[in-house]
Amino acid sequence: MNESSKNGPSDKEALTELANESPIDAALTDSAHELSDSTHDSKDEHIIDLFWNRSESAIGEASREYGRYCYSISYNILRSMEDAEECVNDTWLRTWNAIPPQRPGKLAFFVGRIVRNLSLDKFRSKKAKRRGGEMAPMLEELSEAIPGGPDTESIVLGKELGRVINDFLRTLPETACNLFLARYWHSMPIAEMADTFGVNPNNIKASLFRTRGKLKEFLEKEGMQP
Amino acid sequence: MSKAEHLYEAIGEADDELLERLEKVMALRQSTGAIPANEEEARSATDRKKRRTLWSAAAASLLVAAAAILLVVNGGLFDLGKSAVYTASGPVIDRPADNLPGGGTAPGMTAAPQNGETVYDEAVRAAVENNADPQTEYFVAIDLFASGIPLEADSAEVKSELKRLLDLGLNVGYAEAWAYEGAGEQKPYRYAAGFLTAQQLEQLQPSDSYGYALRFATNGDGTPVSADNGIRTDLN
Repeated sequence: MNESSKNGPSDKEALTELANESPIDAALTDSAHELSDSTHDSKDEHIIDLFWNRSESAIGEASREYGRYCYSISYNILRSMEDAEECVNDTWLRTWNAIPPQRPGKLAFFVGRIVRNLSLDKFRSKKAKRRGGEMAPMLEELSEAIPGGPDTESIVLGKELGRVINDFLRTLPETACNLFLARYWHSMPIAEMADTFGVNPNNIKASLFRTRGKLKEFLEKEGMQP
Repeated sequence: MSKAEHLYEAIGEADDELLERLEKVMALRQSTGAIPANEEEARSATDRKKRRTLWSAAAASLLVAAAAILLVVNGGLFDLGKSAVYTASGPVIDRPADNLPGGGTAPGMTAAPQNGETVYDEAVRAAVENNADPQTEYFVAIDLFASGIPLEADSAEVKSELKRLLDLGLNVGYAEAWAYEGAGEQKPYRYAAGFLTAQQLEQLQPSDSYGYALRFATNGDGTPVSADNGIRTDLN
């Protein structure tokens, strides 16, 4: 075992240095979604192997490949470059700690989930809703999908709810599912979605409204109401 | 955590398969400018793209064939070495070692060689004597003299002599360095040079009309000319 495998990247500064490409540019580009199948599969395998073998270059590689992707997710939620960068840096540390034992299939989604959760935590802790990012309106929208109304206490465990959400998504037409995930997984603003999908913003809102209604019904049917 | 936040977090557990389907649609839209909202539209856009690619490939092939015919007609294909640049693939020495004679200083002065004679700058000689690897190539300037008078690098005599050495299988040609000119401006110039092993250096024999002086070349500020730049063997 080499030195790096014993210690690992221990602090955020080191991680920031390793992630040698600033993700700030991501806010101005659309490259966050540039994922092509075979190339990324082999790159993913390579990067995952680096994490698996405790090679510190894993973090630099992951950052180069998915830094912008993660940044765009975090920035959509937080609307703060500084906070988003911090979340992205923390993402590499979380990834380092998670692989091994985990071995993700698609690294983009793996790190995307991490940065999404970290950004949610930061949003909650910093009351970022005041900054006018996507998070506050998104949560308001999602509260419409909760059975019994937004004030009802939830007793559903996260993993179980996640499974039900997946079951629900599979009932949706593909277009509706894509729009739902673009909005509530990627946290994309409606205007950006309109541009990305070439769909009128009002039509996107209508689609999301219908899907939230269906989700509420689905959750009720699955006994997910308190 | 509020219920909405709880729900948002749970959506994060969406299957990779669903996320990948979304990514494909978005990536395709970005790469083609098409606007598919689902995978079926994306697939048909991909098919259209493939058809366009086939047509493009066929057109490109025709253009390449036409270009090749033109090259053959002009004799271009039979002179591929025209713009060749040679660089050493193995070990190479292009400057004096700091601890050897001539190291860290401008190349030493050597007496002008007489016709049929090769003289070696002290730094070159020391570098060869202190390096046992026979595979090492030495990147040296080859200054030509005719009856003790230096020849212009671009002269017909130098080109003719370099051609003779090339025909002998030696890696010689023109390298580029720079000298100061005017108000401290750097002006590039070229000079005869070669990548030669110790044995080739030892056996390097000028024709009867010329003498050679071999040295490590430097730029105007005394820095060594890097072997990485290579030499042009087209002699034009």
